[in-house]
Amino acid sequence: MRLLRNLLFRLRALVRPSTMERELHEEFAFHVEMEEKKLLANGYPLSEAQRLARLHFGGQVAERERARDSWGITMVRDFLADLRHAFRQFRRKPAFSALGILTLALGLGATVGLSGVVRSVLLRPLPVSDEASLRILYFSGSWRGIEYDYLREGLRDFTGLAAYVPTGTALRTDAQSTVLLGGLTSANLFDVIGATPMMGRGFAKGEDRPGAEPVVILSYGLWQQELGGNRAILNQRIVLDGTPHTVIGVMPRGFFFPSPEYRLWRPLTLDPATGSYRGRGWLTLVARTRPGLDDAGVQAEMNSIASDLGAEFSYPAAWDKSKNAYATPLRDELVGNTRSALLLLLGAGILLLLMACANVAALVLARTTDRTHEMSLRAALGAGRGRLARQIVTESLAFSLLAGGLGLAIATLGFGVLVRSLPLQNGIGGTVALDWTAFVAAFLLSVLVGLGVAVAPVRDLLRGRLQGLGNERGSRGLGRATGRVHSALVGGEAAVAVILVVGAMLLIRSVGQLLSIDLGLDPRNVVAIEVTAIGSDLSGADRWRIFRELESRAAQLRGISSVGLMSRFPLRDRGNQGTMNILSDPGLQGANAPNAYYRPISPGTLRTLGLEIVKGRGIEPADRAGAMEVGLVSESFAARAWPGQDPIGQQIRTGQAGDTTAINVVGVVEEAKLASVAGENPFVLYTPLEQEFGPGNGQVLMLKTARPLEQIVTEVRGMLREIDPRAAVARVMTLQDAVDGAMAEPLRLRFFLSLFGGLALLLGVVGVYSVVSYSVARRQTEFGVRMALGATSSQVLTQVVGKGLLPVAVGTVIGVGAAVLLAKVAARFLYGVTATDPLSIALAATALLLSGTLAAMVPAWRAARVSPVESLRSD
Amino acid sequence: MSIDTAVIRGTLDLLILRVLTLEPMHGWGISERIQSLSRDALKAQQGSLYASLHRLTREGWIRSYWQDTDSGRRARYYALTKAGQKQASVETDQWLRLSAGVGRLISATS
Repeated sequence: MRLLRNLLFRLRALVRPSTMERELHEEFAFHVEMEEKKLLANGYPLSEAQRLARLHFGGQVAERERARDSWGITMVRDFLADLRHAFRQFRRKPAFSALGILTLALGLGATVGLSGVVRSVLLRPLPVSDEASLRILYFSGSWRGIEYDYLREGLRDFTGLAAYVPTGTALRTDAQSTVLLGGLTSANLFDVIGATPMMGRGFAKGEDRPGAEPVVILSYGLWQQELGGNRAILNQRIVLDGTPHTVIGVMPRGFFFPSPEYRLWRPLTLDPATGSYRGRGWLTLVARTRPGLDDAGVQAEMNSIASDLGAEFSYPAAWDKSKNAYATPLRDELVGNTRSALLLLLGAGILLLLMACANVAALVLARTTDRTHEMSLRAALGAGRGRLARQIVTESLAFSLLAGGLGLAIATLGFGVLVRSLPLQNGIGGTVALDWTAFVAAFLLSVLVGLGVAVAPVRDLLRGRLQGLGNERGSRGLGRATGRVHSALVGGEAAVAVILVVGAMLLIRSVGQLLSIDLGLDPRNVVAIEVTAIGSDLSGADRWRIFRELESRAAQLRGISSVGLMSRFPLRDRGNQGTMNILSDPGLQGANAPNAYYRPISPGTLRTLGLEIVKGRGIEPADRAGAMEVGLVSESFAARAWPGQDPIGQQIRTGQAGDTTAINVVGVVEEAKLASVAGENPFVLYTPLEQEFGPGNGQVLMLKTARPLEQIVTEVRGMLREIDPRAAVARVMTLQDAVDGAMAEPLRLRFFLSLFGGLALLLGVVGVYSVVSYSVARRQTEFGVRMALGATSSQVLTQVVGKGLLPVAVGTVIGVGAAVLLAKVAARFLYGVTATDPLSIALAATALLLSGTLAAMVPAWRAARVSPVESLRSD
Repeated sequence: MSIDTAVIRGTLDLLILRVLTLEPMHGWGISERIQSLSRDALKAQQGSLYASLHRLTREGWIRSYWQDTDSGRRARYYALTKAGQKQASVETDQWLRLSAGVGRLISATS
C-alpha cells in the first residue's frame, strides 16, 4: 500500500509536473504570507515585514530545488530535461551535430561490423576438437604418397597424421553433371581432426585401400541443397565421377574441413603399384600433436622428420624436403592473409572511431565552455555541481547513443556488403554472421564513447567552479584550460589522420603499381570455361573425343575469333611444373635442372591469350602424336637455358620419371604472368596437347569473343549435353575477372583505407576549423583591442592561423613517426612500394597541413576583418 | 540561539511526525509549532521543512490535502496516516534511546 502510494506520488510528479509546481508555488506563497502576518502582528512595518518574511524563507530557487528533490523523481526529471536540452543544442548547430553524429556512427559502425567479422573468422572455434594441437605440415613441394606412408609409420611427437587433397568431383544427377569441390582423405582424417558425422559413420579402417568399396561422406549443405535433405540418403548410392558411391555419413551443420568450400569427402587411395605413389607431390598433411607440445617442440619434430626424409629419399635441389620444414596452425591455412587484412582494417576503423570521439569531445567541450556563464549562474542559484556534470554526461550520452544506434544500423544493413567486399578467402565469407554480441558491443562502445567524451568538459567544469563563482571573468581561466585540451584533441586527430592517410596513399600507390603490371597476355574479351570429364567409365578415347569436339564446335559459335585449350587456368593456377633438363648443358641437368611450368596447349591457345611468338613458330595442327616432339619456351626460360645462343633447335627433357623423350624447341613466346598476376614471370614450356598421352580429366576452354560470358557458357553447356553428358562445366570466368580477382584484395583494402583516410582528413579539417573558430570567437575583444592599438589584419591573421596550426603540425610529426613504426603491418599488402614510402608519407603530411591551414584560414579571416569597434562591443 | 533541526539528520522528520500527532497542520503552522513547543530551542529551515514534508508524503507516513484556514485562506494541510502513527512511535523510541545513551556517555566522561 505504502509502496503503491509512493509510486503514484512519483508518477504524478512525472506526468503532471506543472500541477505539482503550481501547488508548490502556492504553498510557499502561503508560508511567506503567514510569516508576514506574524511579523506585522509583532509590530514590524509592512515593508520590513515583507522583506524579513522573504529573507526567513531563504532563497526561493534553492528551496524549490530542494523541495523538488524530495519528490523522488529528480534523476528522471533532470534526465528528460537534459535530453530536451541536448536536442535543442543539436538543432542549434545542425551541421556540426550531424557531422559529429555521422562520423561517430561511421566509426562505430565500421568497428562493430569489422569486429563482428573478426570474431567470426578469427575467434570462433573451428569445427574440430582441440584446434590448437592440429598442424598442417609444410615442406617445399607437396607430399607424395610414399612419404606419407613412411611418416605415419614413425610418429613420435605427433599422435596422428592424415592426408587430404582437394579434387573437383562431378556429381551426376538425372540430366546433368555438377562439379563440386571435394576432399580425398586418408581414412583416419576425421579421427585425427576429431569430428564425427551427425548421421551415419566416418570412414572405416581400410576403406582407403585399393579396391575397397567406394564410399562418400556428405557435408550438411550438399545433403540439404543438392540431394534433397532426406534422411533416407544413408546407404544409398550417388554417382560421383561416373562411379556409384555409397553414402555412409553426413557431417553436422557448420562443419567444414579444411575450408567451407569442400562439399564432400571420399577415401584417398594410395596404391604403391601406381606411378603417382612415388612420382609427384600432391597431398597436404595434417597432424595432431602430442598434448602440450609447444611451437618449439613442433618445429623440433619437423626438423627431425626432415632429416629422416633426407636419409630415406634423395631430392633434387629444386624441392629438397630435408630443408625448410615447418608446420602452421590449421586456422592459418584456412584464413591465410585474411587475418592481417582484417586486423589492419579493424585497426583503421578503431582509429577512425577515436578521431570521431576526439571531434565530438571538442564539440561538447566548446559548447560547455560557451555555457560557463549559464552554468555559474545556475550554480549560484543553487543547482548542485553534480547536477551540472550530469547534464554534460547526459548530452554526450545522448549524442553517442544516437550515433551508436545509427552505427549499428549501418553495420547491420552494410554487413553483407562489408563481408562481400572484404578479401575473405576459401569461402569463409559464407560462414560469417553478425550476432547479438554486435548489438551489445555497439551499446557498450557508445556508452564508453559518451562517457569518454564527457571527461574533459566535466573536469573543466569542476575545476572551473573551484576558481570562485560569481566572478564574471572567472570563465577566462576555464578558457585557457579548455584551450589546452582542445589543442591536445586536434593534435591527436592530426596524428591519427596522418596514419590513416599514409595507409590510404600506400595502397593507392601499390594498386597503381599492380595496374601497370605487364601481364604479357591480353585479358580483354577472353572467356575461360573449365570443363571436366571425370569418371571411371570414361576412357582416354572418350576424353580425347570430348575435348576435341568441344574445341572444334566452340570455334563454330557465333562471334568467336579464336579458341584454345590449356590444362590450367591462366593467371590463377600454379602447379604442373617440374624440372627441365637442358640437353646442351650438363650443368643444367638432374639436381640443377631449372624448374618450369609445363603447359600443353592447342594451336589456337596462344592467339586467344594474345601471346606473341617472338621467334620461330607456334603450335600447329600438324604437331600431333607421332610427329616430332616440339615445344615453345618463354623468353626468360630461353635466356636462362641458352644464354647468347639460338634456342630454336635446342632440346629439353622433362624430369618426369621414365620420360625419355626429347622435346625440340621450335619457338620462343613472349613473357607472361601465366600463373599469378602479382608473381614473377615463370619459366614456361608450351607443348602441343595432341602430343600428350591423354587430355587429362579437365581442360580450360578459352574463347576470344566480345560476347557476354553467360551466353557463351549456356551455349557450351548445351554443346556438352550433346557431346557427352558425363562432361561438366566447372569454373567459368573472363580473363579480365581473373585479373580483377587477383587485384581484389589490394583494391578492397585500397577502397576501405581511402574511405577511412578521406573521412579522417575531413574530420581533421572539421576539428581544426571548429577549434580555431571557437578560440577566435572567444578572443574577439582581444583582437579588437589589438587592432585598435595598431595591429594590422594580416598580423592577426598570421597569429590566429599559426596558433591554430601548431597542434596540427605537432600531431602530423607524431603521426608520421607512428606511421613509420606501423609500416611493418602494411608491408605485406603492398606491391612495388615500400611501407615507409617517402612520397606517400610526404603527400599525407602535406595534405594534412594544407587542409589544416585552409580550415584555420576561414575563421582567422573572419577575425581579421571584423572592425575593432564592433568586436569591443561584443563582450 | 536556536538549533537548526538539520544538524541531526532525520530529526526534522521526527519533529514533524510528533507535531502532527496533535492535529493536521499546514507547513507554516508546523514550523511555528516546532519553534514554540521547543520553546524556541529548535528552528526548522523552511526549505528543509518542505523537502521533508514532501518526502514523508511520498513515503506514505503523512498525507496532504488542500483546505481553507480559519481566516478563509486556502492552504495545504498535512495529516498523519496510520503508517505514520506507527512510524512516529518507532522514531520516538529510537530517539529516546539515542538521547539517553548519549546523555549517559556524556555524564560518564565529564
